[in-house]
Amino acid sequence: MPTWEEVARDHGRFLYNVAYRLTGNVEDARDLVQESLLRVRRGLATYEPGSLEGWLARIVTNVFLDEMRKKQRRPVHALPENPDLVLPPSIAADKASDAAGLSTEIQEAINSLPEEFRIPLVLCDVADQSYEHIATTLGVPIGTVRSRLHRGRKLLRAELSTRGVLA
Amino acid sequence: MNDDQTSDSIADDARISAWLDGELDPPARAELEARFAAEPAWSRARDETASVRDLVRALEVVEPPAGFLESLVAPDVGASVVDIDSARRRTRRSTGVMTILAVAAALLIAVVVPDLTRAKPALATDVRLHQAGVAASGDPVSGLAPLGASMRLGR
Repeated sequence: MPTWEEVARDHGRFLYNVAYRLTGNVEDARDLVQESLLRVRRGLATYEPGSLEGWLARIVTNVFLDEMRKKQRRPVHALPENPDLVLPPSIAADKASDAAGLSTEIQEAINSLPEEFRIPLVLCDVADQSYEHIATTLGVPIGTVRSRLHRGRKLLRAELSTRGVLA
Repeated sequence: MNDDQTSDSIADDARISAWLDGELDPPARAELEARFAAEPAWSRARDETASVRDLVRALEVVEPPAGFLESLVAPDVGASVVDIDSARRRTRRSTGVMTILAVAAALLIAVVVPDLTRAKPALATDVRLHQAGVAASGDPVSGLAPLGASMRLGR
C-alpha cells in the first residue's frame, strides 16, 4: 500500500496532466490536484490494490465534477465593458503553426466541448482508461460512454476543422 | 437516403470509436472490419475519427508548474495539506455555529422589535390626565412635562 507522499510524488504528474486536460488552465489544474490529493489522503486506507491510476483518475474526475456543480450554483457575473480584460488573447498565426501552438489549439478545442463529452474523451485518450472504468467513474452504462466518446470526438473534429487544424 | 445522409449516419456510429479503442467483442469487430474493407464511406469515417483520436493521444504530458508537486510532498507541507483539511472542517463547523447564531438573532429581532414599535404613548390617557391637571392647578404649561417624558419613552 503506497503512502500518500508516494502517491503524490510518483503519480502527481499523471494527476496534473489529467487535471489540466479537464480544466484547460493551470490555476484550476493546481486546485484540482491539491483537492484530489486531499481525497487520496482520506481514502487511501480504503484503497484496494489494483489500477492506482484508474483510482486517481476517478478521484480527479469526481473533484472536477464537484467543482463544475459548485460553479453552476454560483451567480453569473456580468462581463466588464472591456472584453479584453476577460477574454484570452487569440493565438498569433506564427505561434499556431508550431507544436506549442498546435497543442494550445487542441486544448482550446477540448475546452469547447461540453463536460459530458469532454470527460470521457480525456479519461479515454489522456488517462488511457477503459470504457468499463469510465462507466464506473461516471456511473453510466458502457454504451453511454461509447456514444458520448464518439460524439465528443466528432465535435472535436468539427472544432479543429473550424480552426484549420484538421482538414 | 442520399450519399451524404448515409455518410453522416455512418460517421455517427459509435462502434467506430469502440473499434479504434479495442472495445468491441470479436464478432462485432469482424463485422465492422468487413464494412471498412467493402465500403469507402465506412473507411473514411474510421480514418476521420482516428485522426482526431491520434491528435489528442499525441498531446504531450503537461508538466506541473516548477516546484508545485515538491511543495505538496515536502514534509512540512504534507502537514500543511493536513492542516488545510482540518481548517476546512473547522470552517464548516464554525459556519454551522454562525448560521445558528444568525437564525437566533433574527428570531430575537422578529420577537422584540414589534413590541418596541408598539410601545407608543397612550396619548388619549395623557391628554385626559393633562386636562385634569390643568383644571386642578390652573397651570397649562408645567402640566406638559410628564407628557413629554411619556412621548420620548415611546419612541
